[in-house]
Amino acid sequence: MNIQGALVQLEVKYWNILFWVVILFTIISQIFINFSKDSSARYLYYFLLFRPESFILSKIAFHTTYGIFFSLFTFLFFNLWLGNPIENLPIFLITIILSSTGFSIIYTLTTAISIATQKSTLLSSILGFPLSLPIIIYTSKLCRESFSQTPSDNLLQTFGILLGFNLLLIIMSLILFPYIWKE
Amino acid sequence: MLKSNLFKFFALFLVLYSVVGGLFLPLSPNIEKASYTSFQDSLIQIEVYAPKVKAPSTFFLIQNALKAEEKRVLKIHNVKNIKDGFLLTTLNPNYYEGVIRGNTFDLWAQNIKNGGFVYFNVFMADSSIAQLPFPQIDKKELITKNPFSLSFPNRPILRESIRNLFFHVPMWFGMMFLLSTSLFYSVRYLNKGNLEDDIKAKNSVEIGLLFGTLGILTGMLWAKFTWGAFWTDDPKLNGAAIGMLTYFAYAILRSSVTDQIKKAKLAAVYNIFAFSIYIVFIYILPRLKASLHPGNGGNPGFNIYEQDNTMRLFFYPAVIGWICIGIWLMQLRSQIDFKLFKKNIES
Repeated sequence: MNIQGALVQLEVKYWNILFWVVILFTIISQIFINFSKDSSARYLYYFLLFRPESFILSKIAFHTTYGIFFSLFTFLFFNLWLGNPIENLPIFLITIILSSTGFSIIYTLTTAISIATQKSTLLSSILGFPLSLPIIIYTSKLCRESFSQTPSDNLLQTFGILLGFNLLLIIMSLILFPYIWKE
Repeated sequence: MLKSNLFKFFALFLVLYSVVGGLFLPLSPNIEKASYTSFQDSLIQIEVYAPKVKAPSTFFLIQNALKAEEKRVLKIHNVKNIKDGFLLTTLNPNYYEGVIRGNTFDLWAQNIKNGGFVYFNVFMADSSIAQLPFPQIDKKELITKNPFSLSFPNRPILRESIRNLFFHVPMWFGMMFLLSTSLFYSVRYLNKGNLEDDIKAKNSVEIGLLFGTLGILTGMLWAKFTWGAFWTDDPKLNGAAIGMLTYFAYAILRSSVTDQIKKAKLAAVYNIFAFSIYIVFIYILPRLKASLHPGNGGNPGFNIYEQDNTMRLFFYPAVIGWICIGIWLMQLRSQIDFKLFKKNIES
């Protein structure tokens, strides 16, 4: 099935894959740039000023906002050049918001770890990729639902899983981040 | 000395016991198929799968009725062995009086040494020619004592591969146990800061990964024989594979940091994170979807195999034994690592 009226003809399947690959890479690199922009002296300054919980929460909040904003932006550009296969827009928007939140939380923590090791962005993707796979699985499932005109009944359950997963991730990073804060 | 090493002997004994018993105990015989070969000659062909045990020699047909005392028994004479495992007999229940269209018959097979077993609804009467009187047999001729008491259940698709239960499942139990141990040591390291805990956590993960790899390999073999492919697109299999990936990432993280204390701290944090995700992968996500793998779709465990007492007799020792072996391996490696660590400090 091809998308009609688009500049570049793509099958819906590949549209989906391309979209999520773009979003994933954007979030990873954006978070890494954000972390590495600050010098180590500045981290020392933060260390004196803030508690670790408030630091990681503000980082997550910033990255999540940025991630959601960028995902919507990407969607806009995909609309312009690659066409719009979405039949059910609300489902797709909720999926975008939930999954970019999840990606942001995971990569914030793994980038914090990899910054501490002074290694490149590679380590943060290696650490984060397996952790973000459940989100990818459920996102692709939800996207398939949003491409069809008749979504299935257990959508709420899937949204619930994604939301619960995000909450779990936030709680875990709140508990664990103080331990690596000193590094 | 002996007291602290007792569990090692115990583990070796249990594993040896479960391996030997699990590989050498016979499967109970089973009637694979019973079918009409030709209507005119009234031939019933019976296919028996009975490796290593004495195959049944006497066969009866039991006419089903609502009440147990109204059931009538018909003995099958002249059973011929065509080839190994295949039996042929001439019998047509349609010829007997009192048999009406739609009556069903169970096949009962026995030999005097081992006892008997039943195969339900072999035959359905389709006409009532009713010429001969029903040669009623005394029901006492059926040997109903517990047949083949020490043997594994014989199931149509599983067959001999049912023995894999003693290898495949204990691997996952062992892996789960070792990963939990590693979580315990990681939490303790973060609280107390003792590097010995970190070494133990690291080795638990490594031995856990070894067990997980073995579990995946045995599982693949089993899948090949029962589902027809080494890997199927199944939430349980994919979850297990991804869960292993998170722990391989843990190993990569450890190898990329040189500072000992920093490495320990980061690895402990990642380990706790990975374990929580691993639980989601293995135990929560697969239950929400349909899966070929037993123990999914809301069903707890693998009840179909555990119903059998003989299976239990070997399954639980295997689980305990392999877990103990895992602990032993972990301790050995930790001792080596700790000695190396001390040497590094001294030099």
